[in-house]
Amino acid sequence: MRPLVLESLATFAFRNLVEVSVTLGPSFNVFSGENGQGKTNLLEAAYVLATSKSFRTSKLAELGAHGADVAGVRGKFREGPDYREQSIGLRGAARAPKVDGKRPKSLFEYAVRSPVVVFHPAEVALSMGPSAERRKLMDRVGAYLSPGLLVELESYRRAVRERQRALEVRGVSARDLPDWEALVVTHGLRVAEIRQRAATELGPRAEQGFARIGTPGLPLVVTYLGHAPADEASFRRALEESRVKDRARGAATVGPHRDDLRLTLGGHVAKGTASQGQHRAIVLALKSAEIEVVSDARGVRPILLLDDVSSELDAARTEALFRFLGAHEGQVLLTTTRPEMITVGTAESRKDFRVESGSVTPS
Amino acid sequence: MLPPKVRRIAQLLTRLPGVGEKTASRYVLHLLAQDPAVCRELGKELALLPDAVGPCSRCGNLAESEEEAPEGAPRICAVCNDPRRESSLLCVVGRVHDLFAIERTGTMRGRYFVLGRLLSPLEGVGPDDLPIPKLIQRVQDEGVTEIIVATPPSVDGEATALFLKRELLPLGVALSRIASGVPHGGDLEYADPITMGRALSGRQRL
Ligand SMILES: Nc1ncnc2c1ncn2[C@@H]1O[C@H](COP(=O)(O)OP(=O)(O)O)[C@@H](O)[C@H]1O
Ligand SMILES: [Mg+2]
Ligand SMILES: [Zn+2]
Repeated sequence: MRPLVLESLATFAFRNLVEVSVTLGPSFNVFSGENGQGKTNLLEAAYVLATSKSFRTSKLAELGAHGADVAGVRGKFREGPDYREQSIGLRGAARAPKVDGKRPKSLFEYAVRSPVVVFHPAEVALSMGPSAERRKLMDRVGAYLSPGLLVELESYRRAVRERQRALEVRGVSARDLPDWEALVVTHGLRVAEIRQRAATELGPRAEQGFARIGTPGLPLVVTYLGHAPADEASFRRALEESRVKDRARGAATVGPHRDDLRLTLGGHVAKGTASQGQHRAIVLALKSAEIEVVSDARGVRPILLLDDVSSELDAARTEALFRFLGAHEGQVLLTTTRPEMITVGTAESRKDFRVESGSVTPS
Repeated sequence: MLPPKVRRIAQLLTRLPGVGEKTASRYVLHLLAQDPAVCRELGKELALLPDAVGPCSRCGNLAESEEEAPEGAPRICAVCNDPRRESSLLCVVGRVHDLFAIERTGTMRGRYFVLGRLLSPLEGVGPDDLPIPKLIQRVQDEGVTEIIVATPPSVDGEATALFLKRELLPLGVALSRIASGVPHGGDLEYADPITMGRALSGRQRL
């Protein structure tokens, strides 16, 4: 399968990266520097360029350098023989994506055009944290499996919030409740269906991955835990019946916004029972499953963005990670404070960079 | 830097959609470089606009006041005045912009009703804020037999369509919804006439 390659990346007033312009290699790109120099910002810039979103914040206004009016990222992607230039202009909370100088049909289309997968230290929450992280995983993958997911999700969320406001302002017999509930059901069932598919694709791959790196004899089982009633009629009824409760609670009780991806180790829910090492192995298994599913769905190897490799890494995890990286046939952008610990790649397949006070130079 | 008068007008222009401070001052500087008559005429016409044009009292479309009409007299728009329009067919839209988008297709044989807003509790709009009694009145007075609901394909537009369906069903008229040729979450205003025309002709029973 052919890889997606980011050949060049340039930023303008993006966080502390005032004006960066780098030419990247097709396999390993290692960015090293002390803390607070702009390493994560650089990966974030690549992610924003590829998806028009950030993996760190939902507030786009944070991305512009302090005091700057406008900011931007630009880069050249190669996919097999094809090249394209993408750019994202940022002004406050507004973004203007372009592909080869033209506005894409929609942000949703732009978001799945150039697949990237991020690994960052906070992602251990995938296994240890609340369900929101696992829903995000299903949604990232689902967006590649079914391009309509992002629109459905946005519509679903809007309908849920409109219903909730109607309930709170005009009570449980507000005349428009049936209409909002009808839309919650229509969009909610589509979201649930796509998440179910995402879980079905992710599950077996993560389970096999865990069997290779995790605790022998202790199998990981991954299942979709849906919170939407199975069909239209029962979903409608459940919403109607929960009006009083939802009004008091200030949030909807039924619906896919409460979905989870259930992770069990030897029959026990991983969260709360697994060891630190097991959690890390689960996360690595889920991330490699994400890469595989996205690759298959999109027909191209995604770019891997790995943040802060080596910070407090134990030897076993490092080894598992490097074995995994060694097998990855695509492009990798990796940041570290300790370049001497990063043993991936050969002299030819690896390019090193130094990140210092917001500037990036080859080293 | 800019003289206060220029700044003041530029400030006013930034209220227009898509016009930032830079563009606004460019507009003012451009106007200053023109024949002074351009500024005077623009100013004169703008000052007359609010009294000369306003919503049609029947459908909500933009309508010009009759010459010499007393202040506050009801205005009737060109579509409502057009005798070739079928009064049995009524198209319900959210905003005047959407009416224009449909008119551009040149395929609408009937008349319009502009709601002026869409249901949205989040934006403070509930069922009682929609002009439903006025709509029902028109259906009855004008012998409307078919209603096309052309609210946008957004969540609020869909909810409004569903709500209208329940309110209008007892009247016994044929109800249809424009087909989703318009991208979901999209805006009718930005749909090209061909897409819009297809959405109209492919309308489905509600
Ligand atoms: N919007 C912004 N404008 C300017 N500087 C920013 C902005 N956001 C973050 N920074 C700066 O970026 C630096 C952190 O960069 P980061 O990439 O997180 O560092 P690290 O190299 O440790 O990954 C900090 O010095 C922070 O002040
Ligand atoms: Mg960092
Ligand atoms: Zn009229």
